[in-house]
Amino acid sequence: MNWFPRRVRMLTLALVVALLLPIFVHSPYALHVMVLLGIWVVLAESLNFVTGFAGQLALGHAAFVTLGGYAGALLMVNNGWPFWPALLIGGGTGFATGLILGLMALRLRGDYLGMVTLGFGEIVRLLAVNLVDITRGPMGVPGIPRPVIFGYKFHGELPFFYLILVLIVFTHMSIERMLFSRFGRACLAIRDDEIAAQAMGVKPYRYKVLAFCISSAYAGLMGVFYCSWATFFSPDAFKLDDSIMLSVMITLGGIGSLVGAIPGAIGIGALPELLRPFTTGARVASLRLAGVGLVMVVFLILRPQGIAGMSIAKDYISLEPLRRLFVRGSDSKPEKT
Amino acid sequence: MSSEFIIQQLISGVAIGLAYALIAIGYSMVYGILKFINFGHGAVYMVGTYVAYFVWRYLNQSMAVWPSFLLAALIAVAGAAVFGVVMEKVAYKPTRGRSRLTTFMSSVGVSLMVTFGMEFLVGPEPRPTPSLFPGVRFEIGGAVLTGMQIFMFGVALTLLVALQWFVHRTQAGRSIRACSEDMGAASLMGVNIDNAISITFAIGSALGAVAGILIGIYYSAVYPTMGWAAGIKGFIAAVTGGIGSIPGAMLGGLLLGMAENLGAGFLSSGYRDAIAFTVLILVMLFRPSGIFAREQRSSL
Repeated sequence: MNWFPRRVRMLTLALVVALLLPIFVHSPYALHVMVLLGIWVVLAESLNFVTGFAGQLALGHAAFVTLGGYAGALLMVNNGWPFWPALLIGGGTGFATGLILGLMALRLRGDYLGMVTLGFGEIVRLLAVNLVDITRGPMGVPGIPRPVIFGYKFHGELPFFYLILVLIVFTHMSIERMLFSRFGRACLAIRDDEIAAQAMGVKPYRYKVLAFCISSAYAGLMGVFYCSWATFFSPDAFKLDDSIMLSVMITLGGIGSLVGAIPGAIGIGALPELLRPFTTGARVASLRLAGVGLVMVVFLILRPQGIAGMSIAKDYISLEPLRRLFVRGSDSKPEKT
Repeated sequence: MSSEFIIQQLISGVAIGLAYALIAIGYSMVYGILKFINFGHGAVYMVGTYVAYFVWRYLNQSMAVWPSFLLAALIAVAGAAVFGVVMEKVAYKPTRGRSRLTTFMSSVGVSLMVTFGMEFLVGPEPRPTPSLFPGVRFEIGGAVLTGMQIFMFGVALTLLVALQWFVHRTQAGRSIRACSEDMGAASLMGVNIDNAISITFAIGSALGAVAGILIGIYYSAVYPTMGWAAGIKGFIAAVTGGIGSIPGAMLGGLLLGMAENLGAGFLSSGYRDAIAFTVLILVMLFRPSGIFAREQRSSL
């Protein structure tokens, strides 16, 4: 046994580089982009937990960010709560709403689950837009306070950069711990072969719902982080495009590869910044989404195992079950109708 | 609420519901044969509508409204059919034989690429369309029926009946049904599977374009993201009626159109789409094989 395996070395190196980055990068704009990329990394890793490891396609991740974000934002603005308890409430909101949707939707499989979670996401967005009395509708919630820690009030981008690094490490390590627990093994077993898992005494529905709730809890947490960072929250902050974008990130990174979600999230998340020199304004958004669609189709045709298939994650989670899921999946047998 | 109000909402619901049924056919037939949800269908719907819009506007400079409309619609429908077939060959065929989730994600990619490629080219703002029946309206018991609504009933019902005939009475239709029954066996019996799949995509896309043109003129708005909501509603209609069945798609579309319009009338028009998604979740929860399906499937 290697006490300091390659994957840990790589990640530790990446973390040290990230910690030292603010010494070299001073522009608030660059730091702002890096915080945003950090948010994408946490969201992609948490979505990867339910899609990559429990094998359930969910296209409503943005809805839980919205729900958690509103819960936190309204408590902080209307009731004067400080940031930290609001952060926990955001996570709790994600978990609770994930439980409600999960109990209903996880009886379905595959693309049907994708469509139902997508529909749920739209319902949440429309409620946020229309329940003007509670959410202030499309005008959004302004003036959300920033976090205060030991009397130090967050100011500028730098503290948020370090906070998001802490959250990334927390997310990554907690997901990794769960994966190697009984619960994680059960999820992987369900993904690889639900019937075989059932025969081994694993209750698929129960584990799928639990995986879904946990993944949603991270999303709710990020909603509170985002609203305090932006000091503003609206129904348009996270919507359908973002849910789809997250599944593109994990698809490109390598579905079911814990490390793969990181380059996937950074690559797709940085795309609008990379496109900015070529075009301006609203067209950046259109071009980005169109480009992402193209990349996704090309990847799915040529390289369904994602980027991680080729390099850093080789010795991480075995790629074999993943290849079976997405290349010649255990669910590729024609369904009985 | 007065009864006139309810009748009025039902009339609009039936008109829009029949258009949803036309979209639903595209999902239903593709699902029947390839067993995956073609998320790119909404994009085809949008492309067809834009082609019709631009050709119509161009021809209208030198021709009268109706001849230029019919010509533009014909070109757009043919264009959408070709587009649908090309989409299948380029993006879906290479993923055949893998998990159907791969194909689904590929169709999500196609949808993003086409929708936002169009938004990049023409801009996001909605464009108003010319009217086909300016000022034509009939009063029935206090409710108003417009010429456009009658036109939508006529076109949609004709096409649905024609499709039912095509699928059940022609050689090509028989090969499509054979493939959705058992693709391997159909292949052994000499059915050209690639052709059957292409025909399926061509028909679904053509009907999607017809629906797009009708809805575009009905709401007098054409915009690049129109395919999102319409596509998802077509899917909901297909699922509600029982995916894979043509009469089911029609009933599903009608039910969805009426539910949506009544709900929008009683609550607020802001909830129109939310009602459609609620219908989806309810159907998936209680009757995942569709309200009108005869047998219950064990799992989806």
